Amino acid sequence: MYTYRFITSSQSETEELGEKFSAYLEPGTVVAMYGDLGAGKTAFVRGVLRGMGYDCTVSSPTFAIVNEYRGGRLDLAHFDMYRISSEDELYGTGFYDYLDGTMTVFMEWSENVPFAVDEDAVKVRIGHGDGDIRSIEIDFPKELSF
Amino acid sequence: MIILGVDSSSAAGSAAVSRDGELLYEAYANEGLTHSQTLLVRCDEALRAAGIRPGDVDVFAVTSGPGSFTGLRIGMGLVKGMAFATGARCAGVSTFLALAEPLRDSGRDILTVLDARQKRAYCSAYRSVNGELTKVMDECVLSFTELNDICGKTGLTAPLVVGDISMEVSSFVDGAEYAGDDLRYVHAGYVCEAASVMADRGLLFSAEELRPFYLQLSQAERNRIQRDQEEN
Repeated sequence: MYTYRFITSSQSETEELGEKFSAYLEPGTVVAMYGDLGAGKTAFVRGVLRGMGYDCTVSSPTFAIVNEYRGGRLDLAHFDMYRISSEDELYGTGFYDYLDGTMTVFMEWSENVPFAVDEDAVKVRIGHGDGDIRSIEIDFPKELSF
Repeated sequence: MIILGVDSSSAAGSAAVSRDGELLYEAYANEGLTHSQTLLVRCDEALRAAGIRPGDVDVFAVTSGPGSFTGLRIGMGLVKGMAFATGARCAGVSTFLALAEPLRDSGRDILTVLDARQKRAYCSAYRSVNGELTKVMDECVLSFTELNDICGKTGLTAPLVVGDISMEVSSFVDGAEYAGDDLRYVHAGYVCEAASVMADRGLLFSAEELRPFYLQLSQAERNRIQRDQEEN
């Protein structure tokens, strides 16, 4: 696993990073995301979706738990684990049914579900800097060049 | 007695029709399509091929769990809907029992295992004696490394292992034997067979009473703690 560090200075730069990153994703890739409220997790996913050819509104599925996007380069399931605290609850969202290798899965608030993050999961950690500055760390099994 | 059996507890899905214990038709596929689009089509196919009208079905049977959360809800919803419409009775067949059913006449111990992720198995066990299956291990969740010990304490002898992770698990249990590729997934014909036995014993429900059995980890862990206490 390689670790890459990026600094972005605005929400749109975080989206652009997600857009570039999306080219490296495959069906079955699970991406565990970490970062506080307002860090830019959803902005990153919005960029990923744009990179896959989706042209639609993207918001955090805080209450729906999962939003599905189908018809782009890859099918993507966008989870928000903010309200999930146990393995039983996670099972009751149908989460494990999304791990059949056909979809790319993004999980915001992976802090809440350590039991669901496999060792080989891709990780995206977003940290707050001054103002709109963000540090974004990506653990990825292959080489990224952007 | 005519039974329509349905299974969507895992990635594979199937529907079958039996009359008086004889399998008339079974439609099985593991093609990766979602059950919500294919399961009703498969029921229709099985009924048409067997020349049975939905209103003639006496018992609607479905695997009630454990298994995929979405899959169980689709199967359960479908069977409840059909039974509600016709007024027929329902049978909720444990996924473990449906997996063990093909070995009803084997005269062997049968260990049934389903993937609980992170090197854990949902398990149960049955003993086949004179064509009867008796449950000898309550449903629980065990790590692969605990399996051998618990199977030993349960008194299982050279069990045949069935279920989606049966190949992986058989190497963890002394004397265990992988029962083969055919017995990794449920086939609806065996849901009919198990339901037929349940009907004889009066273990049927109305559409309203039928319930899924998710065997969530918390429940499985409580079962295990209770068993450990009983042993000590």
